[in-house]
Amino acid sequence: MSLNSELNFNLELNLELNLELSYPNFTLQCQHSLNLEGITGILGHSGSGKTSLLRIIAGLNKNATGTVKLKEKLLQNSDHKQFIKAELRDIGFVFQDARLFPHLNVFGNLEFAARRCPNSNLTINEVIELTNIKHLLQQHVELLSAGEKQRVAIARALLAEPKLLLLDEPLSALDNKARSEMVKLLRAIHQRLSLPMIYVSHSIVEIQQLADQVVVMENGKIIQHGHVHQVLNNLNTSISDEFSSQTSLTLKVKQHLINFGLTQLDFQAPNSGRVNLYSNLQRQALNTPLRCYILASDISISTEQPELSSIMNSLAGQITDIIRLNKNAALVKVDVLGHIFSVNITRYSVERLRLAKQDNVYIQFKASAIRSY
Amino acid sequence: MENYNEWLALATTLKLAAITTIILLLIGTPLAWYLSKVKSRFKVLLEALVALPLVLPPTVLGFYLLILFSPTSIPGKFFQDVTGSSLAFSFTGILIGSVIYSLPFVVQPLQKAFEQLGDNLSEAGSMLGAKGLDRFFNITVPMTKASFITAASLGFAHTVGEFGVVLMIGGNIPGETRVLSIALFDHVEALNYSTAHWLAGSLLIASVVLLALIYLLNFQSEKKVKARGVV
Repeated sequence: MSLNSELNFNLELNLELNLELSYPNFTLQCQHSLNLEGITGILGHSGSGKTSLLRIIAGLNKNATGTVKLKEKLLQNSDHKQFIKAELRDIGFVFQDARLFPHLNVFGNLEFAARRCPNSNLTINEVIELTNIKHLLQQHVELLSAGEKQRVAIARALLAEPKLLLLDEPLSALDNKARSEMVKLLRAIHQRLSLPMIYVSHSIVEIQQLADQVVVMENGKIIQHGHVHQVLNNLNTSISDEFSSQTSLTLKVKQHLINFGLTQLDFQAPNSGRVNLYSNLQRQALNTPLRCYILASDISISTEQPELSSIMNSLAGQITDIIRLNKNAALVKVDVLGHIFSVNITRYSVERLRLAKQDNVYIQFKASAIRSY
Repeated sequence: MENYNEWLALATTLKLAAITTIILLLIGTPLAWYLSKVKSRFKVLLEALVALPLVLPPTVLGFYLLILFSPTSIPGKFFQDVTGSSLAFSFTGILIGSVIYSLPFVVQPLQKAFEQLGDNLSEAGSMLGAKGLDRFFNITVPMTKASFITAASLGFAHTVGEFGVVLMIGGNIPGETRVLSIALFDHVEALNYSTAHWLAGSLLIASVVLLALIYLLNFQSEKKVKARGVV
């Protein structure tokens, strides 16, 4: 059975939350409606309530009051003492610590899920191939590396054929190489099965690479929600110092200029404008959308259109904000066709160019400034 | 004839210990599960009651059971009305006594094992569609297998070694309530030391072997866990 044609996971999956969870020194409060299209990233510091929220959606935390509705199906309504048990919710969960069953080997773990799944749209072999764990099947789960454990955990979760997959910081124990492989794997799984996912992480890098939409949580509340680049590029510096100084964007590979070692990328701006950008990211096939970022310190600003320059990329935009970072540096937010770019310059330059909000400016960055993980 | 009585006592003892162990596993497992999950203050009282036979002189327990079993008390009368025989000085009587007396030896290792195992794997099971009993028998039991074996063996061994409770409520009826420890007491009282030696020695060796087997089993399962790289 082919994965694409037979698995008809419903794309229109709406999650309505209206709930509260109180602990002596922490309160989680959510009144929010999420259209679970693609991969939804939940971003927040540890203790912001993101794992609690995920556990409530899964049905693993029974202490919350209020309602949880998934695609018009009431999962919980504390007023009517209504609570659908976790095992009956058709929701999958990948835990931070994998939680494979140690008394079963890898294949036994997969079988545990497959045997309890009422449907059989996905066979064990298909999932083994998809997650690339064929060589691990007879191993004891304790002998696996952290990355292998999570691959098995994901395979096991898929075999239960959930309508929604929740992932709670599944990559936090992994090294960088394993992490980037897992990011690719999760995207591949998402594309092949069209399975909506909610991905919780405190790592902006992971969220930037994976999520299509992002929910930002702080102190038990949802404080932002929107398209990944839009949310990440507008992130308040208090949420993350690491990321406020980058610009996140998705670029499509348009053509390779092999003689020059350059790749032409298509930047489709939010207000439907299109611009060609040049990078030296050379490994991707044509039309592949790439999750890219540009460091704020790699972008320069000028008030006049640069004419002849060795710098390949030049875009016209409008200043939306100037944030003083410290005594010497400032962060300038520039709106280019509806996409916000973050530019790090000295405060001396801000003075010298007499930059102010609403000014029309040009930003420039080298081909090598476009990076991807 | 003398020899026949000792074999009968051995058979009674083994029968008593085996049935006690089965009942204890049936009652003790849900009780241990409940104690490992519940967070109310009521739990402390229940835990104290379960542990009582560890500190109470068996004769105290036996005394109260004797009163409870007598046909003048409500449970004793009820039993007599239903079955037509007395609960005191019967096999059923010493069986009930043994179950109570050996309860902590089964409940405590199981409770500790359930607590140590925690909810993590069970939660993982429920996210894969496994319901309560399915999770218990296919995740919890295999993960705590060693503790079940320990609990059953301790319950069995402790019942074999029981004396005070049986003496109080069972008396000394061959084939019914005369167990090995009582037989031994008889022989010592009759100054029949050579038979007493035989009985005492066999009980001692059997107990050492049984306990050594339990510890060997635990040692091996620990070694296996360590070999797999889990600490």
